Amino acid sequence: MSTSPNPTSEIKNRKSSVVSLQNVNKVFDGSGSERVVAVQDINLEVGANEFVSLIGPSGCGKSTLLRLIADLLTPTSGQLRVNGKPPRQARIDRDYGFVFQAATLYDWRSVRQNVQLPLEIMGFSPQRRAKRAQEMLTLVELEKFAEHYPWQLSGGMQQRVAIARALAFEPALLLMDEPFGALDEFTRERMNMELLKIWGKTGGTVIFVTHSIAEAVFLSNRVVVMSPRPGRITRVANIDLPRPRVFETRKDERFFAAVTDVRESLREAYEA
Amino acid sequence: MLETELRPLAESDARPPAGRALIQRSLLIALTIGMLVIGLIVAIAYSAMPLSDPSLVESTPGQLAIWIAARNGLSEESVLATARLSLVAMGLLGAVLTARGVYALVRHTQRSRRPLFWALLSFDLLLLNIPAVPDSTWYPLILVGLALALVVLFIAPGRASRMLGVVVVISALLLSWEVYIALGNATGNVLPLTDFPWKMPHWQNIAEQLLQPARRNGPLLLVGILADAALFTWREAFVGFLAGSLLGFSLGALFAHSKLLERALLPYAIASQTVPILAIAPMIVSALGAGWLPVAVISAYLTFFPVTINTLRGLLSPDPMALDLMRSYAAPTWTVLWKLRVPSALPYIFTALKVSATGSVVGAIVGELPSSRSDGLAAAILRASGNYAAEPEKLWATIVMASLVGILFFAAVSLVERWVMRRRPVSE
Repeated sequence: MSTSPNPTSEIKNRKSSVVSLQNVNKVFDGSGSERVVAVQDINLEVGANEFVSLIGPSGCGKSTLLRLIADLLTPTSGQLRVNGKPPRQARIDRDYGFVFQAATLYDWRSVRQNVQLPLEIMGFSPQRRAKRAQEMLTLVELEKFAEHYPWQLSGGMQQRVAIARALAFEPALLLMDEPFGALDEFTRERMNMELLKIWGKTGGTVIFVTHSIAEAVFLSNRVVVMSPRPGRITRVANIDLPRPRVFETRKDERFFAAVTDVRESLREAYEA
Repeated sequence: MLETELRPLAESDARPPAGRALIQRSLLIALTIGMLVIGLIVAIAYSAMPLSDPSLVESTPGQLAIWIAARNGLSEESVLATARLSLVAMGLLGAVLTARGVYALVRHTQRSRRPLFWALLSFDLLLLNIPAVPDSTWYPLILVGLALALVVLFIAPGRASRMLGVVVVISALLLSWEVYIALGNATGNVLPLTDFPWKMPHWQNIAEQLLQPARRNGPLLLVGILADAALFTWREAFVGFLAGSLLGFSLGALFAHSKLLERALLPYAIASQTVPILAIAPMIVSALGAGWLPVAVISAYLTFFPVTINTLRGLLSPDPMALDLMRSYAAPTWTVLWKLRVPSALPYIFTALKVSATGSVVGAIVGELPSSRSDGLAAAILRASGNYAAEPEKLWATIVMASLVGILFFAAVSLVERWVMRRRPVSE
């Protein structure tokens, strides 16, 4: 378990960073004189094929950070680059797929049609759409439910459809905003395994927001610990657990050690 | 995993009733048997009835038979015999449908509402056919049967469909109306509106009037004339409905995309609805000339507003995350409109279309008045109201037809809605 108090020093060695944030600030202008500093002085580099989790208590700005990367919000100040481009350009170039807290499937579309939605918008031919949707549904093991409608599926299955939809156009970057937050503990653990399996097949970079320590540790190469009011990065923990991570990983002593370590950092961040 | 989730809950009607449920069920069966007996008594009474009995002659089929005999030079006896047979058949129909209800109550109480609903309809049919002649035994019996049917339907278990609700309310209104007249007559007409029969005609007389010639000894039945008029008016209303809905949708879509236009124009859209339509209808007619066009325009005028408001609300209804998803795809405004906003707005839009469907018919009738269209419902209403004191049933019959146009139009839009929304989760 090595930790780097200054994340940028370590990044120097990385060949290319997929996401790069330098001194990024986001301030929300509330009503009247009320100004909320959502994130402050964020410096973070995420390299290719990394799995990075953002963790922290509610209000620490982890979702805001993800939305800044996705250009769903614009930073108040600072430098932000996605694939070396401004986030807006990256969004227009469809460089990333986004998975939201809720599955956000469209009720009037079947599972298959939901997965095809981004492909329709991006102008794929009907044959390629059908082929990609089929591949994606196979990937998340929902081929049998292709003609079902979202409201006929359980919460976990809906979130799998959302992942299939986000991966359908093969983005090299996947942004996930507490995708399993609404699921029960068992389903969440199963979904964690599923996600690693999918990531093992597709590769790519994942930035994953969560408030579950175990989930962050189990999934990630690095866990970014954030503290609230204002949202800051207090530490980046490297997780050296071997891959592939399996059911037994959760029983590993090193897993417990990493969980405890991250928990301690969170506590320090909170008390600071 | 999913199989169990999708399987519908098993019906639990095999469970034997106990205690209160048993009493309720016995009561239901007793009341329903009462209805069954009434149906049988009516059928038997009519089968043995002399052809000159006023309960036959004044009945709806009886009066129709006399007109047919006069038109075609047939003997009244033979045609009246056929009318008598049809009344016997109606009584038997009531008995048979009620017997089905009894069977349902005995066999599977939990699903008995549907057969009982048909029994109620058969008693409505009897009410519209058997006349309230003085000292009639059969007419009060029908009222008792109808009352029993309503009580039974009210306490019977089972699914309450929307159709059932509509028919129950109409039946209850018919029954109250008739009971009120009977009470008035029994108390020497001290109750308001019961002193002259034309103030509150019997519904049987209204039904009878529909199956009588529009003019004395004329060649056409009133129902035929009114149906033609209704179709004529509906065509104008339909054009107005289409134009108004299109305009309403376009305005709503415009407002949804431009806060400025909404702020600037919406007050005028609201103001347009506060102007009395009766005042501007003649202006529109004089501007556009006689014909169907001004009628359709007036109809559209009454149609567009609810569609505008609901389209606006519906297009703004998608959840922020669903919109963020589109933003993450860098989807153009047009794509967001067709792939997200319009599908989300459909439930809102259909609600408005249903309101507009009935509004468009009212608009067409109002529009027909100043444009002196003589083939539509407006002219029919004018004719009937001119003659109200002599033949009050004709105006009532015309009103029934006019509201039927609105109801059928509403039902048609509902059917389209159900088809379009067949894949959506049911939110009941």
